[in-house]
Amino acid sequence: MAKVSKTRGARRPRRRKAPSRRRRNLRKPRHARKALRWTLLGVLPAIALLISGYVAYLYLGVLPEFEGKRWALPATVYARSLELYRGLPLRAEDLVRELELLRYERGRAMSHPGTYSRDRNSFHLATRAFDFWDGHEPPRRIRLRIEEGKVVKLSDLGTGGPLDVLRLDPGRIGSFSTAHGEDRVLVRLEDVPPTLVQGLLAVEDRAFYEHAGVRPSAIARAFWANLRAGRTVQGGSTLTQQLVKNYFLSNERSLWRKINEAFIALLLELRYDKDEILQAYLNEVYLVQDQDRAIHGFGLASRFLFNQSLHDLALPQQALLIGIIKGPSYYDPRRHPERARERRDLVLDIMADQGVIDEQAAAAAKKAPLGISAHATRSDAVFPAFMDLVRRQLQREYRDEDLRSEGLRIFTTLDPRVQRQAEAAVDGRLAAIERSRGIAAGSLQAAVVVTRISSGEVLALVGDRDARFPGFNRALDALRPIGSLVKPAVYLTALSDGEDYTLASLIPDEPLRVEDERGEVWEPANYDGKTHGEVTIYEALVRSYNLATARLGLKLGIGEVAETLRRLGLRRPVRPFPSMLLGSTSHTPIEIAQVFQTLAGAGFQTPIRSILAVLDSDGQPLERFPLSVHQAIDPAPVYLINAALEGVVKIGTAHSADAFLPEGLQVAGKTGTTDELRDAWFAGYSGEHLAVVWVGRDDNAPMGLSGASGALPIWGTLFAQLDTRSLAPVRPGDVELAWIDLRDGRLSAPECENAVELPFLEGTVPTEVAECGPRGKKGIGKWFKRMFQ
Amino acid sequence: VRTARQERDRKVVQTNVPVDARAWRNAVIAIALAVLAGCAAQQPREAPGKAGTAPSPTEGEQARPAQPGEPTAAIVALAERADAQARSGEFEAAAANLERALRIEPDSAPLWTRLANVRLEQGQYLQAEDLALRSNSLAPRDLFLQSVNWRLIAEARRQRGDTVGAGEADQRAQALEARAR
Repeated sequence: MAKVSKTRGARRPRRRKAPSRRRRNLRKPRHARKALRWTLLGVLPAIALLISGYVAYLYLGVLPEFEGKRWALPATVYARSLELYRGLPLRAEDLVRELELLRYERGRAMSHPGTYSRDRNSFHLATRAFDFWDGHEPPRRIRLRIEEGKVVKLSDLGTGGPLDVLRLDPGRIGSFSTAHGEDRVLVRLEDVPPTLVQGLLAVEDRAFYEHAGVRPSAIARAFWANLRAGRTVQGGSTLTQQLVKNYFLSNERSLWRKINEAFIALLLELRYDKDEILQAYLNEVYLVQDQDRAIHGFGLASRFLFNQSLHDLALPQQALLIGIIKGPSYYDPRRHPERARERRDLVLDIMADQGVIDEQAAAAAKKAPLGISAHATRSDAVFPAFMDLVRRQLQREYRDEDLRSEGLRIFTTLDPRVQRQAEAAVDGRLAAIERSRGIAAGSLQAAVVVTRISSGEVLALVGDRDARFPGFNRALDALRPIGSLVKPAVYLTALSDGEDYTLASLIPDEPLRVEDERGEVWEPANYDGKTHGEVTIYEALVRSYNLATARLGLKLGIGEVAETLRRLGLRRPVRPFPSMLLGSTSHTPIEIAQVFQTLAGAGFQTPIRSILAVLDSDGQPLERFPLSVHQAIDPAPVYLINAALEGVVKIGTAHSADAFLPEGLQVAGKTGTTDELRDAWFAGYSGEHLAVVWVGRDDNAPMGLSGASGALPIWGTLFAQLDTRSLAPVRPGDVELAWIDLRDGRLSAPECENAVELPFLEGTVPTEVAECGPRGKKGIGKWFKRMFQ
Repeated sequence: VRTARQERDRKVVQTNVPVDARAWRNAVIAIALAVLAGCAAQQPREAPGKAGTAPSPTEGEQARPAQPGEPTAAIVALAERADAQARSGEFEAAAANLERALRIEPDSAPLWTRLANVRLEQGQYLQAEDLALRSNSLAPRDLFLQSVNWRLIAEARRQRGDTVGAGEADQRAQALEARAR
């Protein structure tokens, strides 16, 4: 940006002066006496004035706008940088993967920054220097050793001493043109196959490197040919003119537009060299239509048509791309493969004719099929769902003019390792579930959001079971009823409500029939179709009883529950219908992640974020998105809810998580299932990570899976892979523990049946004692009696 | 059981405790410098339980000795870097380094206190208060750190003109100091 704007700024004043000088000349003729002289002297400068004014208008008004959008360097998006330190959980293979992502060369370690060597679990690295938003990381030569999945040795070979901590340079995970607010697969001229470039010139503009942007002879020839035919049969446009035409995106065939185009083309040629114009053309030309969206540029078209990068295209594919420029819809290879093929073969002939390729190569290429990929991909992004989140956060937080500046560097929170684990969990589990349950292969869809609880950073985002497919982003946009995921909010409302409720309080799980003001009847039922009589709050939440929850929620007030949801961080308003208490309210996976973040964070709300900082091209921070917390809810009742959500995984609706999780890993979570098994949810967390998983069908049809059978397997598979730490919530000072009979809520003892140790707000521990339990008052009484009898 | 290092860190902190309430603003900074992030290891982990047994919410009392493989050195290095930056007025850089340390050890209450202190210095009073409360939630039985956090909150409230709230926070700090003695 800096370079272009400086040039622009420097030239602007010179141009501005030109018209004003002429204006002064113009005044003289007014005082002339002879009409003829007046006319001659007046008309000619007037025309000159008009033309120079027009050129000035193009130069000052149109050209900058053109450049600002079309010549902008894309923003570079970085993943989080890997921090290396002793004690870091890291497997040797993970480090190798990271180094591959960073394009470190293996082998000749230490020869120059960006190289490494490996001897089993020992690594030598020559790291690159990198300018982060918060400081400079110098290049280092280091030695690192991994034992039992942990970094145990880290030393700086430069100083010879141990090294406490360092950051590797972050991986580049994509780029996008912020001016467009869309993905562009921008290519550099040197990355384009030479045969494609030469073929393009042979077909579209043979004299490209000679002309000045416009070729009057070609225009005249085309004009004559069209006049004779009575319609447009030939175009006389140079590549430069076509580039300009693509910018205006108008199909109007007026003389005025042609003149405009020609002048802008001349101006472009004056300012830029041929290679720059050619590169812009390659990135700008309209090639094919994707439903309601035009695909511009060879890079994106190559992805869209062949699902390959432009660099890797074979000759026949290159020829096809060159061919369809002439008529993107007429030669659309998906809709009109025959026409496209004829056109491709014609291009191959021209290429052979012009000496770009030889005859045999052309003949061989003509035998090849079109090679169109059935799977349309619209971007080069490796992590399209996450990139989508980054783009939206940028658009929300930035003014347009900031985003339009060139070469922004965007530092994000994505952890490529966690991202791959989440993708693999979705991919593997969905296929397995479909197979084992006789569900049509490919009919299920899923979304996953993974965050770091302490910071609210999004570490991974999956928006489609095909994680490379940048289509509908379910993690951000799938608005689905949340079912029982709402229950923690109902019980949190109760437990925050003074001392009326504890986890041991008994509530009725009895039939319920509610008629709202509009006369609509709501008659919920339990998942197992039964009623359970008096149950403890703990059991009602752990076993996800609908009737107990709905009755309790109605007693507390729907508005109160909605308020709790709001305080937990739910931004989308909840409609206050009774059915809301059982999760009829629809939300997206990322909204749910925000709610459970607050539970996992002991009542502290931490806004979910995907961007850490944005730097402009000079390395100056445009903005930083720092860690922030807000105590939204008192930690004590949240601690009680967390104890119950741990129970959900241990003995409740999610106990099947056992099958996936490593022994000893403590986690908590909640299942969610909606009417007729249309949506399966699981939201759960360890001591460090939180993940929300949604599984369902895009057509919203029943799929026969509950939260436990549909979403929990993905969540469990992910958490088995993650390097995470056990949930170990810190017990607030005003919370005490007691052993309780989970069936009737009375005091019990560890050795008794159905005994659980539950937390209570100070002074709310039940006093009534269960039958069993030597430590219970009755028990001790009996024991004393026996002693003295 | 505390490690020798934690015991030493603790002593460093405790000998620095001034009694005069007005000196607490300086003390908070002193704390930020003195409470080494290695204290993080004081936060206990629940012993692995057997799957399927009744849940037992975590006890918060016992300390766990630091293991050789733990990232203490990294946290201390980052915290010291942050302190140096804060001293020279580079608050954003200091905050960034504390965030790095918190990514490694999110349960370290002293690290949250340090970050609260940086925000206080920057005039971000509401955020300073919330960060101090977060620190308190992670160290409910560390009376000393609790009192430091309440002094910090008192200062944040005073700075934004809430003298009543500041008085309440000071009272809480005093009560904690009395209990700690």
